[in-house]
Amino acid sequence: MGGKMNPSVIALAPLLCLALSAVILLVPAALQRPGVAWIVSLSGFVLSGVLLWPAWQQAPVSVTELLMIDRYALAVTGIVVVSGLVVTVLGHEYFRARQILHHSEIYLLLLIAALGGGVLAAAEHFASLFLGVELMGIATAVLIAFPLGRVELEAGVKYLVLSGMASAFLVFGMGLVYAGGGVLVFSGMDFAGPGWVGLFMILAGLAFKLSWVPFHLWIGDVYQGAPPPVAAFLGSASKSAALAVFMRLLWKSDAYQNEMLAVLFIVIACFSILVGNWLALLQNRIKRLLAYSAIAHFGYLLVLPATAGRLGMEFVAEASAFYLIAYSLAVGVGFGSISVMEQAGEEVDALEDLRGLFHQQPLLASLFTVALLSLAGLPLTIGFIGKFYLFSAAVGGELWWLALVMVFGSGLGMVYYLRVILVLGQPRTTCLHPNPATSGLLVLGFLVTMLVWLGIFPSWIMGLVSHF
Amino acid sequence: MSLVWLPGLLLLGGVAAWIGERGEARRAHTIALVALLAAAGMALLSRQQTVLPWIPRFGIRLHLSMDGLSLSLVVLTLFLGIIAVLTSWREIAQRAGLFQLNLLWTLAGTLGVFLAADLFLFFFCWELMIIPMFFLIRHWGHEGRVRAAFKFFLFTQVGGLFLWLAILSLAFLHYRQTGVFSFDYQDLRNMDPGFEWGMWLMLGFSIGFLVKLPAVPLHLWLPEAHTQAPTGGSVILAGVLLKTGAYGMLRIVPGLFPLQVQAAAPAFLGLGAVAVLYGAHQAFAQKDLKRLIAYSSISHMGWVLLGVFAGTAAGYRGAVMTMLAHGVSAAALFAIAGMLQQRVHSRDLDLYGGFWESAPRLGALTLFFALAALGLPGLGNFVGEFLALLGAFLVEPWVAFVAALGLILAPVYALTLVQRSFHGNPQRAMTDLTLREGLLLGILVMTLLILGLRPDPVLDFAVARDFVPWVER
Repeated sequence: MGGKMNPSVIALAPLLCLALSAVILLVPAALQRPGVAWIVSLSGFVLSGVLLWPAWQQAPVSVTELLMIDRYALAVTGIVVVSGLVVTVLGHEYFRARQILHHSEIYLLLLIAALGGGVLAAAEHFASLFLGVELMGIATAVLIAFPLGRVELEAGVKYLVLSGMASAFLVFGMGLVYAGGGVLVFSGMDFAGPGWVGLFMILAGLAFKLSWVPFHLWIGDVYQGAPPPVAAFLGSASKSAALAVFMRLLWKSDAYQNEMLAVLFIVIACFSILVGNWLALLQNRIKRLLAYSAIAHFGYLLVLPATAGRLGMEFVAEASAFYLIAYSLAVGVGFGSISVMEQAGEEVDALEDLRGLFHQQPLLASLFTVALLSLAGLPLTIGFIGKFYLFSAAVGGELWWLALVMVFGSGLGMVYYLRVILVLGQPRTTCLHPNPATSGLLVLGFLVTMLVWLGIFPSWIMGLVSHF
Repeated sequence: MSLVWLPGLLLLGGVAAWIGERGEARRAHTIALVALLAAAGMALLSRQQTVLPWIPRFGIRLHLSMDGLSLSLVVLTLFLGIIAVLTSWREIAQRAGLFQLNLLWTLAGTLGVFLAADLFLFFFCWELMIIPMFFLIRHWGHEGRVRAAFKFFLFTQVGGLFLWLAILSLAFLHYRQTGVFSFDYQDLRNMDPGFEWGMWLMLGFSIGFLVKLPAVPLHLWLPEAHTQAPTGGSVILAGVLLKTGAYGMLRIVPGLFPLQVQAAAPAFLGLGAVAVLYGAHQAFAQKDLKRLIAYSSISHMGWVLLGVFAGTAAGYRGAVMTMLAHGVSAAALFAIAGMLQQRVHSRDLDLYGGFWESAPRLGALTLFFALAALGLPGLGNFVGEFLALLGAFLVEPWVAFVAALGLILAPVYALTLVQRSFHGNPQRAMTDLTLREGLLLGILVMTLLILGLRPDPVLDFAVARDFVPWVER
């Protein structure tokens, strides 16, 4: 590798590594060797994560018109890669424990979905946007349906149909924007004539992925039906990548300065916060509770594009990256814990199934509790700092009504997170939680350490994300 | 020694108690006690100021500073923490390690609130104390604990978020005016938010603090939380946690918004007078012993509001003294309530009566603390209430006159308490004070006597230097 390497190759290396691993993985997948496939996938994610560092030094690099590898893209790719890695570890145990021996393809799908996420994070062109959305969407739909039981299949088909719908919106919107302005690159895009309708359709397509009200109807069923490791990926990686491209589209096309759009965002944010929290509050099933709370969390995030016109896109990008990291860590641990609990074959569905976890599995219960506290945004966890960013944005942009809705919403949010924690501590007579595997606990333990460490000393991450 | 270690030690002590319990409650209690004693020793040796970098991106520093007022409240916190651990010694046998973890973390948050000189840190600690307190009530509380815990949590949390919004917008205002992010109390003090905007911000801060204090329309969480909490939790709630709200009204609000406070002072004085009367009136009507004490706390906290917003030096001293003395007397009354409940298994005053026959020492001490609560001269509460009243009288004689009626109502509920539980026909016999209980109450008696008989050194020490009375009289 002597001499000078092309900077765009270095910048693209993490994505290339994912793609290459996917290709290599075809061999063990075809030979039905899940053990080998697992190792390929694991090393692919690790290597890709390592390659983020030289890419970080090079950024920003524009790789053709399609991709813009800047630090924002790399930060979000980092989330996707770490999430993929964690899901690889947890999924391995989960499927093995459930006696689903031939599961090599999930690693393949995971790598493809992660690649799609990376492309989305860096997309600066309608072609790459669509490519990323499809790569990720289709791979995730199969992942959701993976063991192909009745419930999973239903969830997978539901997701597939809605993904298709979202794609239809996207493509039609792109067509309209192109008809109006004649450009496919985000930067300098103007939305003349039908272009505005097109932009709205594109935003609606992305809103499906991000489950904003009124596009949130799928999320409960899908999170409920998907295998929990996949739900962890869906909640962290897929959502982060979709939000990243959403922000970038607004950023590069200067659409964020439009007052009318800001008002629309505020309205959607209010509805998402209220509806999401309300649905979660009424839930007695843990996966649905986490699903509905995701609606609320992405509702909070909408405060960022709404204030971007006043605060500048720099701060908003920083805040969104930080919040995505915080949220992904917490939700990863949340669904990761459920995955570890379910390894025994006993499905964790109603809140009641979690009863007594503190007495029988104190370590696992503690990890889960910290994740919930972080989602609730309490101090000593990274969630607190994440919420600090979003409240700052609301206050700095002087969106007082939205700030009040956020106050009310996070008050509600804390109530249902606390309720879950209380269930964990209640006594239980029957023993239902056999010993979880150590590798799962190790991964979750590491993530929780990060949650707490970054909650007390967030400067390091802030330094990374504050210079886009 | 760095001030960070004060709350830090309690956080670590909590974890140590949790891990070190190993099925034996006494071990957890001992660890908690040792942590508190160590922190108390450290508080007296600490330096006055600690500044460490924390989150430079937003100009946030770990800035803790300790002046007379802070030190007095820190000492009160640790002192009552020790009392709370001692009262729980026998009562908490189940999961004592977890109990002490929550107790110590609540206290750590409280210490942070009293010491923080950076408003981000202030809010960080403010939030930190809510959740452990919630768990204390929820897990170790009495029969109605679930409702009480959630009510406590919702009120204080939503109040806290208003405080948060106000802090953030103050910091953003600073950023707009100077181009630098800062959450430092002094920096924000030196900034002029503009009169009208300042009023809104003051409202945000006040909502957060008045919920904790609590002032009357925002007090709904308090009677239940105090009643349902375990004894140690009640001691901390009444003795220390309410003081964080009072501390905010005493130092932060007048410090940040001096002009706005002057304009709004009559409203706050009115709130104070209403709280004094309402609390006393409600206390009289209670059948539940702990509920009675809880309402009396509302009444006493009204005096703090009266004292602060009189704007006179006398009033301010009265407010500080009321905080300290009420902390001690309310903690003592809740400890006694816990002892009675342990013996009788009820808090219902209708089932009480005639305990003096079998437990004269407990009766005498109860009478002592009831007299303290009603403001008997010679005890700390009298000094505080007298000074607060004096301060308010110089400014708004009518408000002071109305509030003074509270001095008539206080003996009514305080003496009712003693009469209904210790006098009358003995319904049942009970054991008198044990050595541990006697010692514990004895220390509290001494403290109240010192505060009442020699208030000046304490007052001179505890009054904050940064308070400027706006009424010169």
